[in-house]
Amino acid sequence: MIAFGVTEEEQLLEESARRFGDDRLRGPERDHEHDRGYPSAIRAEFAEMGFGAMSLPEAMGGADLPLAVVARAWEKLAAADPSAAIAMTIPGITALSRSRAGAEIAKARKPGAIIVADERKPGTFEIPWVPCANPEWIAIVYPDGVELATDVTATAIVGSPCGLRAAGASKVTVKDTKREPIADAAEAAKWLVELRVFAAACMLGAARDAASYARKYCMERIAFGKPIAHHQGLAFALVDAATDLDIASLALAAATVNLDPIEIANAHVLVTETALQVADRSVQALGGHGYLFDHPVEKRMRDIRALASLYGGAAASARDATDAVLTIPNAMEVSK
Amino acid sequence: MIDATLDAGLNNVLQMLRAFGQRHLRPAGMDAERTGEPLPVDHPLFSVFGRLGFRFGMMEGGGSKSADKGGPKVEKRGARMGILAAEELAYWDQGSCMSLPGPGLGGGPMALLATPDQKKKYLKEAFKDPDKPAWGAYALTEPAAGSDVARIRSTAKQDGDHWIINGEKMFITNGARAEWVVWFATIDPSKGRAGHRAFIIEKGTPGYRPTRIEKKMGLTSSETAGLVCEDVRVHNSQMLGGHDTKEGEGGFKVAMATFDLTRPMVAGMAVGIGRCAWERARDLAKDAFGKKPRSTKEIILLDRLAHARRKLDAARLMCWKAAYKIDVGEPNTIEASMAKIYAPRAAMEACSIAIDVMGLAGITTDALVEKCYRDVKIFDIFEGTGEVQRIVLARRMLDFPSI
Repeated sequence: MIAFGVTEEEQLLEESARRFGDDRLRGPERDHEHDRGYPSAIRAEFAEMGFGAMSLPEAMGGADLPLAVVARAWEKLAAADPSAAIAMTIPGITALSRSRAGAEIAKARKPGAIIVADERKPGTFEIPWVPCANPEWIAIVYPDGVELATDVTATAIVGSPCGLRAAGASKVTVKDTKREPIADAAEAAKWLVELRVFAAACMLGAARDAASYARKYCMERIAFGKPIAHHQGLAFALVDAATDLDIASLALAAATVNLDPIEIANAHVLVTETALQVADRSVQALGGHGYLFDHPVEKRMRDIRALASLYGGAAASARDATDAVLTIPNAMEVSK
Repeated sequence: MIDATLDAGLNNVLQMLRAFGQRHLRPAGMDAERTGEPLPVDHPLFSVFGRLGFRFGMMEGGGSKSADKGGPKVEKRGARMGILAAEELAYWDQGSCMSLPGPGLGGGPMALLATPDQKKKYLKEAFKDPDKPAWGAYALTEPAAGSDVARIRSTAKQDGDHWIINGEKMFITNGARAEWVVWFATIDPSKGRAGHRAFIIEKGTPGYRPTRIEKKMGLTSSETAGLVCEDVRVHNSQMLGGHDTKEGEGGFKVAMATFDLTRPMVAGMAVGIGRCAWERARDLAKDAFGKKPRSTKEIILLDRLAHARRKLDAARLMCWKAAYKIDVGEPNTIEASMAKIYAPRAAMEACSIAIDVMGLAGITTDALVEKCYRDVKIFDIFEGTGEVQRIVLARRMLDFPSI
């Protein structure tokens, strides 16, 4: 039966993620970005709170929470600092842990990264950027399966990558040795679901935070004798951002309940398009101030741009949705 | 967690409406396209509808019944049922759906404010004969007061135990055929919104008459009328809510409260029209270029179809959320306006993409999608334009000042 309630469990988890984000991540966000990492004390607290293992089975030290619930916590953490979840957990950890080799990595929380590729890459190849410092492994999700590479060489990226800097930034060479298949095509689709939900939840949190900051700023900043939020051009842009975010959020929430890969792909596209747009508009709302490090909106814009490039980005999700468009069931199909 | 599933009850309602829409609404809509006129009052659709015995509340999203005091708690579900009905019926033909007998938009203010006697006379007795189709109507908009409802110029002056009403209304759905109309007027122009009251005016009252039937871009099967009141005398008992209706209760506030109920439904209707166009185009695409290898143009069109589908599906969720909040008794103004902003645009885009997919054939009436395109445009305009919805949201979220 159609319902939009929130359970107590969801509320509690969301609230603890929000509080941790506001108390421990938001304030020193710029320092972590500058340092390209988080102090061990924060990492320890993050792990102690269980944020790194929310969806893992209890046998692996996790809380066995459904993805729909976990996504809400990721969203709250990303609102305070979009790099945090990616730096202090392994996105895709639940999928990773379902294979024997992946389970060992997940258990030891070895640093590494998952990428998505359309075609198998023979021989040694390079990955220009992963948001991870010193990755010891790379998992590559192909349409027909997942491969785990453990003979990898990482070099820190010199200069300033667009976003997610606090998660670390490496260029990785994946050797053609020590590469083993760890999942088949059906399982690869589940990896994509988890990765896309993770990225979308983080983008949504970051975009909501940017929109919320812009809203407050615009209600305080005076121009032409009144708060700039009371000029209709800006007022409409702000409420459009709120509308688009709420609707994208519903799409993601519904998709994470059903876990249908095409529904997830569609939600990922919608959230990505919305978050990119809202981030840009939020910087715009602050005018020149939005461009400065003095306000978080420019960082949200950069971080969202980087998140939007992960796991094949919206283009891969849109392709999957397009490939399926002639075969998906009609909306409002009735059961007879 | 969101539950976006339909239980057996909703599923049954949907099946019933689907059968009705397919057999009766769609053909009636196409009849009107051929004649270019609203469905006549003796169109067979209306007597079929009467015999089916649908509850009117279902069409307006009302129909929720609270449990009797002391009885078991009954979950209200009328708004959710209403939103499904709105989308499904619009899928088949929104113009014909709007022309169906019943209180129409007048049902909202009646349900909110009418006295028991008024409800008995205008909601029950007026519609009791299934073989005699009857309509109600809602007359708020005026030639010089559309979005700015507070500017209505219709006046009501007291004359003993009667009121004398003068003014002009336009864009009134089923206005010319309605047995009664809820007419908004001001009893004191100096009081602004606080001076607004609603009156029930019966067909045949001297001085009250339709002025014109509008020719429109779409929703051809639905009658849209202009109305005029020239020194129309109505008794105190025809003030909606009764003669003791207090300041702020009987006019503007009722008009606004009605919108929280109807805007999600209107947004849901837009989704229904968009879905109709989308499915038609998808079916054609399946036949025409469903087999690989596809050309680049075909791939681009399929991508546009996927884009349209995800926006329609997302819009539906906001409509449902707005309806869900009505059922659980929570304020829904924000969700109602968000749905009303987003859904019509998503639906319009879907209809336009559907025309693209069908190529030149998409422009012909038989293809249906061009009709959807014409029909759906009004959903970004009536029940508060997209711009008005943004002002509603800006007031709630940004303390945007009242103008």
